[in-house]
Amino acid sequence: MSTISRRRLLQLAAAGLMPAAALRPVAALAQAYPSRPVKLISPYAAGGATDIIARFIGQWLGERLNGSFFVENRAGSGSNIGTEAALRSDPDGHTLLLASTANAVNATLYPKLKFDFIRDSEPIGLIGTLPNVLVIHPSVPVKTLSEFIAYAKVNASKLSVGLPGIGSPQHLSAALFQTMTGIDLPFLQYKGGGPVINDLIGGHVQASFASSASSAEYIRAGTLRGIAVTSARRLTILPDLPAIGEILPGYEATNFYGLSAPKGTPQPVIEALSKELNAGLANPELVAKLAPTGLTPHAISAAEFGALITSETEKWRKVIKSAGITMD
Amino acid sequence: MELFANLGLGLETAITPVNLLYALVGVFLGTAIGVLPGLGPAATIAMLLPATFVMPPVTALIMLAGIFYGAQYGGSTTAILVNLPGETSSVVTALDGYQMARQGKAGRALATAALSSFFAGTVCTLLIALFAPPLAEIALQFGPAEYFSLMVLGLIASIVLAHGSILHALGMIVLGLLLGLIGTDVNSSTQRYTFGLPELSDGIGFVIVAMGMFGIGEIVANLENEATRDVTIKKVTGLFPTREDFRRMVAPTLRGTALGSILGILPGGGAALASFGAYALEKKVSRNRHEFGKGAIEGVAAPEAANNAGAQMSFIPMLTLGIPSNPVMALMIGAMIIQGIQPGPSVMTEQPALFWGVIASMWLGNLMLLVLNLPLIGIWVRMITIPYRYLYPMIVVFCAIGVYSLNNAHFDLYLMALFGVVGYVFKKLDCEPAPLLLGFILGPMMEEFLRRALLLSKGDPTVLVSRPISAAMLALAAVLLTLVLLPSFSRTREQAFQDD
Repeated sequence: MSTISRRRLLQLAAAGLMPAAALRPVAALAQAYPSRPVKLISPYAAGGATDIIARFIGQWLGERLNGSFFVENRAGSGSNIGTEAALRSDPDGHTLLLASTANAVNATLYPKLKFDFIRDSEPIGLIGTLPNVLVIHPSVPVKTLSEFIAYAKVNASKLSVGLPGIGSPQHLSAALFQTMTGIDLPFLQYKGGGPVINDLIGGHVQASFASSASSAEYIRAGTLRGIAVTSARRLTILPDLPAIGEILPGYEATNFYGLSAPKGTPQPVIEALSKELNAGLANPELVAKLAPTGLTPHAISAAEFGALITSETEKWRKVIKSAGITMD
Repeated sequence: MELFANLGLGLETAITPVNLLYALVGVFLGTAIGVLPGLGPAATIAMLLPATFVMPPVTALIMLAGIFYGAQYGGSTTAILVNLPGETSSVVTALDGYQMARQGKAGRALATAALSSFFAGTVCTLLIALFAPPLAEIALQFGPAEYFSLMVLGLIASIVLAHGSILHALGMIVLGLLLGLIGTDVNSSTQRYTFGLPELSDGIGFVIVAMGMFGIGEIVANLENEATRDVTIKKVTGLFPTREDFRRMVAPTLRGTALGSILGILPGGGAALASFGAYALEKKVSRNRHEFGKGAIEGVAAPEAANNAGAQMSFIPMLTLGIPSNPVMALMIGAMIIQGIQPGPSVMTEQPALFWGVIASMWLGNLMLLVLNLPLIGIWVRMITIPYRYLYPMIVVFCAIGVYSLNNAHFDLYLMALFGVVGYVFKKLDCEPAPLLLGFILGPMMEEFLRRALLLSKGDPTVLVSRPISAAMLALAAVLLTLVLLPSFSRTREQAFQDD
């Protein structure tokens, strides 16, 4: 009952039908947020990085806002099914979305989407970034990025790059690398990251752009050889690896994870979530919990997150067009 | 002697009261969700993941592992009692297990399943403790070409699953292959038969097809025939296997364990083949092959041993390399990350108590399952005496809950209902669903591996025969095809003449 009346109030306020003074009860009502359990939709399968990030962030927000947050995994269609479910929910703050690079990418990749992520979502904040790593099988006779580029230019046909699916962040990291170096590397698509690592360790494929968290272990153990990271700067977990941008100026392909809500979610709710999210990203305990996922936490305002989504969408639109990646 | 030190450390870890308790909780939950049709270990573990936040890492993994292999035990229960396999592996158990139940031998079938599973579990715990790292190395030698040839072998072997017409079986396999093609093509991202529905873009889930065709389809068909409805179950004769039963289950259990152990270490889908392969093997080598499909105890013992061995061995790629071979292992990896442990090759050396504790708990868990399951048999067999007017609605409700729990999507429920209709029609047409399900599982994997092998060889098909393991398996498949098809065709011809 109370949620409906609050939504109605907000609609009236938004339509300019109510005087400014009448807005005060809305702010007061927002104090009661959350009034029931909050559903945080993670648009991927349970057990993966997105799911784990969602669970930790949900737990933190629940504690801070005196409510209960639960994660619902709605996997499918490269995050589109879960995203659509979240954006179609009542915009009252009780359904949130774990947004990621996929949302910025899919806007271009899937021409027939029934939603427009930028238009239909309300940014809350960035959680952090997660770069990929260019890894190779140790049998490939190169050690550095310059050597790899030189080797690949001559031996492109001898290399196969294993990737976890068309349109995946890893695929886009590879596509951007291909566009900027002009090397036509043969890509080989898999269903997910696990099988790629398996075939890379087994030497069936020679290279991959893989998530930094999972590949760091194999690089440390010497099972795989790390060449460079896709982020703008070096990573603390792999300090010896250069950023690709050091050799290829302007190269950056970092996955982002953030929190979004359906369009029309009351501003006081967005502000409360943004504030507590950023407090969490400054909390050493939560940061330590997120570390094994490979995530580098990064706190920005809701407006800055909105701008980030727009610029990432634009950036990947260009990469997808120039690399000719299609999905239909 | 390092092995004893390691196993000692593992037992020491696994035998602490709190770890024993959670192992028990895990196997108990696993058995429960295994018995309930449709609810699988993946959905259960996903739901319980938050509960592991507060546990020590080894305790969390012990409990989650318990759920996984507990579900393998429980899954055979509904397959045997009501012909409703909830897992890929129990599709085969249903073939002869359900026939045994209809002859009043449900208790003996259930006990056989539990005993052969326990034997396989014990052997595999030892194998993992002794050889986990070298076995993982061997599995890495399996490239796309080897996997493809393995799948071909499995598919050919599956033709013997059918006990009716070979033509019907072939038709069902091909239909299964086609159903498996629905979804997004991995290499080109082209949508196949998705009719613009994003829900179909990742393909159809196995559980949806199995619940629809076996669960709903079977119920509809049974309801139609009022006369047979209440007399299908004969009087239950004896709950425990006879001496003769024991004699007959020894060799199949051994062969099933061996086959399951080999296939289970392959992360690219070997475990899915284990129970099918074991059944096919028994049907070829058993002295009682004429009883297969009519309630042969070998047809329960072999696939159940193979299935449990495969499940247990699938821990090897996960524990030694951090590579998940199925959705449950992916969740286990997630649980490790939540605990702050990065899965990978260093887990064994940096977390020895965790590694060996989980392995030791597997054997303890298997023992608990045996102790838990044998006395429960008396209760389970009473389940089939429940009047159909109560049992059928319950099954439908649990199927619906199970299917919904996969993706939280109601689309999947409509799909299950559709497959229910399809299953009913096929039952009327005398077409068995088991070959269809095998084609459905193997088809997409075969395609994926074949295309990957050819992409890697730059389109040169000789890669399939120039790699020795691959060539050996294709040769075996060719031999099997000859053996399987020739006598079967002549036999069906004979029968056709006799019927005239």
